[in-house]
Amino acid sequence: MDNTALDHLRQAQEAFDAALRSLDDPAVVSEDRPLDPALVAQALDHFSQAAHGFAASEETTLEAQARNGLAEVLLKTIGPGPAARTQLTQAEQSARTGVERLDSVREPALTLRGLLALAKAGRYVAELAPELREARLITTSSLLDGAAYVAKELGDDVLDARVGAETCCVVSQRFDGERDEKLMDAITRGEEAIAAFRRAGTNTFEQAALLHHLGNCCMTVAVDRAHWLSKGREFYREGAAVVDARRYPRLQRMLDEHVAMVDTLLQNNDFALPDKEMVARYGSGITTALKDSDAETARRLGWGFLAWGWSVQPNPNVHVGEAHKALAKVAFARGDWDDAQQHLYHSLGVLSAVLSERDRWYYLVGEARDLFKQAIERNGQGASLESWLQRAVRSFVDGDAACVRAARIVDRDPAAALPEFELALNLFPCHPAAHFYRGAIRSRIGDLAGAIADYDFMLTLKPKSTHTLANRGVVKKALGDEQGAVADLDEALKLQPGNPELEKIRAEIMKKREQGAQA
Amino acid sequence: MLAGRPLRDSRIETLANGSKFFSLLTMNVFGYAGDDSNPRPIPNRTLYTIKKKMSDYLQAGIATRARTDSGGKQPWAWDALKFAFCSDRVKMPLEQVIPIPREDLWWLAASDDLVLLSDRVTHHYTTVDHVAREADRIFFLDEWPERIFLKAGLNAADVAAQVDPYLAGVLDDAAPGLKNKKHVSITRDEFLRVIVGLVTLDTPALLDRYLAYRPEAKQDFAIRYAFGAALMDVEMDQLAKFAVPHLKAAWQLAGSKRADVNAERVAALFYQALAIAKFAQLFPGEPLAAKPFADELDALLVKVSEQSLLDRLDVEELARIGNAAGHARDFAASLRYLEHAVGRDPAHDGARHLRAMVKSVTGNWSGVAEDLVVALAANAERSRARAAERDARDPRDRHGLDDDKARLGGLRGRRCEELELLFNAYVNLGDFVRARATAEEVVALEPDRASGHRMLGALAMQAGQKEEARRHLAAAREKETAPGGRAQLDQVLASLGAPPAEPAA
Repeated sequence: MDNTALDHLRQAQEAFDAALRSLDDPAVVSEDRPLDPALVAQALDHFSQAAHGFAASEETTLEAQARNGLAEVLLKTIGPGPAARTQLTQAEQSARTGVERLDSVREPALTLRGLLALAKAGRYVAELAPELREARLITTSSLLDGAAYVAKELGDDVLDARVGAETCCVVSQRFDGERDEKLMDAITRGEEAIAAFRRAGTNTFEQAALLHHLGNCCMTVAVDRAHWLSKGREFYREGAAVVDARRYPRLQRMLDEHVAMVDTLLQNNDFALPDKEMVARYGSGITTALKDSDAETARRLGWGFLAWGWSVQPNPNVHVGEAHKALAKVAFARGDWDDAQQHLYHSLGVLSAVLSERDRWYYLVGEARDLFKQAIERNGQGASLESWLQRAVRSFVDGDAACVRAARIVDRDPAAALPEFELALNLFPCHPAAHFYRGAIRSRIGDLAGAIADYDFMLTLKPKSTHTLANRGVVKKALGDEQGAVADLDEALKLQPGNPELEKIRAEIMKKREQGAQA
Repeated sequence: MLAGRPLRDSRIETLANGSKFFSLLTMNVFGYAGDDSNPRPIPNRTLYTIKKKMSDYLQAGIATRARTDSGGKQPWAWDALKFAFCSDRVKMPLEQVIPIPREDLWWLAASDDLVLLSDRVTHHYTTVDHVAREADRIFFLDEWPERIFLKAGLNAADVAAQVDPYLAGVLDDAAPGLKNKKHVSITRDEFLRVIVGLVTLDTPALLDRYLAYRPEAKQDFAIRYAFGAALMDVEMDQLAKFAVPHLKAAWQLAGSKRADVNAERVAALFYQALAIAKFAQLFPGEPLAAKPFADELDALLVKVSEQSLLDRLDVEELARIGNAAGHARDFAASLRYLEHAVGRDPAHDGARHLRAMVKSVTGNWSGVAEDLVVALAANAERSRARAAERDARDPRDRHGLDDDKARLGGLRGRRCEELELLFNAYVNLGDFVRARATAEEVVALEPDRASGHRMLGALAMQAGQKEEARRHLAAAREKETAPGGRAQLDQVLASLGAPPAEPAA
């Protein structure tokens, strides 16, 4: 037995325990309080020396204990900034070596500690490195499956609950396969963990934090929204009831706020998924489709993303720019550089219009710019790169200004408004309002096919625009397509049931249709 | 004690309600078999065979769902499976049905369960509508509610079932399809007099819930062994990890137990579960995820020789481990298990096919061809036998005929897969004559399968017959359902100068 290493291990554990104990004071707020840096440094140093000592003397169980300790300290003290990645790598390596050294049948508790540390590290890596995200979440899930077996063999409710809670967090972040299924798997695992925490009767903070997470999971399930929102509210309420508000006021406040938020959503019948969830669903759907060489689906999803982006207020927004970027990536995958250039032109235009340099999302502009450059070069237009960039950056702002100018005069002077709308669409071809107004003018001057084309495109961008549906219905009727006209009006009435104006137009179409049939 | 089994995962409850509705619709639709002037013999069915068939349908449904577009899919619980339970007074093999105290079947019964009821004279399968535990009453949806043997005077168990309009007729106007539908109900005591067993849908968590409800069952060899066997029987490798703790407990209990327990067979099933769990855990690419199972496996092998464990597994069980190892890309281990399987039954279709797949990864094409020729002969023999069974079946046995159709379709699909691999082997061996004959057989067997046309196209390309290649590949493009396959064919066709295909609507 290496007594020096043993002494290091004891001192390390004492320092770490002391650091953790300082957070246990029931009289003080525990949230966001860092561990005592001196104690942390001591723990790290002693764990590290113990690990090396035991490795040299080939005392594998003790080495694993030291390595687990080292990993746990590192994971408890990860802060923001670039150092986080290095610290994570160290933590992961330490836990990995620790688990490798152990026989999980003879040392299940120690193995479980190591597996949980590895899983935590995996989850952090997935957060910090988006390019590794899905792969890391999948391998971390599998690690936790192994951990769940060990926890069950140990028969300890708290350990079982911790594995369940971690699994819930990891699985809920996965977008591979069917998203709702992953969320429901996560919720099932989380509920089992809550039951185990309840049985143990301790760990109220972990329980409240998990209940908060379970509520968040429910908020992002797409099917049967009313049911899941209500269920989420139950989790938030239960979390608010168990959390120690004195020590965890922020968590308490969040839980209370979320209960109020769900109340409002349910009262307003607002069943829309949160923006972040929608973006992630579209993004992962497109990525998966491209991975499966299914460009058709990727493209369909890209246009769905764009339409959703235009449905979010304010108009436009960062999602519109990102949807054009996603469509450009689909075009890249198909080798259609022209299409990619078009979408990146729009992306850059919108993102430059809605993001300022101070904005945390400003890097998205840079990304669009880089991709735009690539597309221009692939299209052999590298010589005019600068002028393209300047034009793209101003495209939405200038196009929108032209559209606003024209919209002010369209009622009294449509002939003067038309060139302005043309200019708007020349500058920013995917401007929904410009398409709508130009369609209205075209309809008025008898260019019915042109009007239909504008309305069609407008509805691609804003499929729930009742005005556009009504207008297109009227034009279709004028073109003799009464069936199409009624279908558009029906669609509009589905969106605005009982709208008298829409009903009146529909009734007129139906009346003429019947008269035609009688004649 | 809990009044009843906790509510299942919401996804399972949704499915159970859907299937229950189907039971409701089929009520009184089919003629009562006993009314025939010459009734057909009752097919030999047990809780286990019915569970197997229901599991097959479930798996087929999941497979179809995975192949179809994601739009409008109802979320599904990946670990859902069918369990068969019976009263422990009934003697049935533990590897088929889980024996539990009869009163626990009341705790267990849930909506859409198939129950086997018997008064020792009449044995009858029916479907649970719901269990009103506070009222101590269970409701069934039966195909012939007015004829059910549970009615007073029709049984020897002194049961007097009530037959009432479904939901007291309140839905008659709202849902005319449900008019005249009835449910049958009996009391808890009556249920416990006639219940033999049931087949239910749930996840492996049900078994933990049962052990929480009846903790003494943790030390019951029969229950733990049957739990493990049930989780292995469904043949989903991802479930093996849930079987491990039960089989470990059974193995430990078997050592100190009754003389009638075949401890070596228990150890063998434990071994199989551990090996499959290990390989399944390796699949995502994190070796340490498999460590708990690998360590358990090592610990078992210290106590029991691997050869004796392998000797107690049947050919299907060995092939299954080989398959799991192949998925985890441990081809050496896979081959080792498959050698055992083929050694046990040299004409085994599945084992030969799997071994051919592993050999193809290592480029052993003559080995691939050798295995597949045997596999195809076995497949043909099995298809002939099944077709003969179908032809001999009483045409009124609709469940049996459905099963024949599904099995023959499965055999045909397997044959096509074997031919596809054999084609690759012949091409790699430079035997283009045999390769062509193989491709033509696929086209003849399943003309709507893209692969046959694709193979003929590839042969034509190889022979420099551009026009011929274009024709076959265009046919393949038309029939291809996988987006990736379509994209690849588009590229090949473009390289042959064919006009691009119309994009799918």
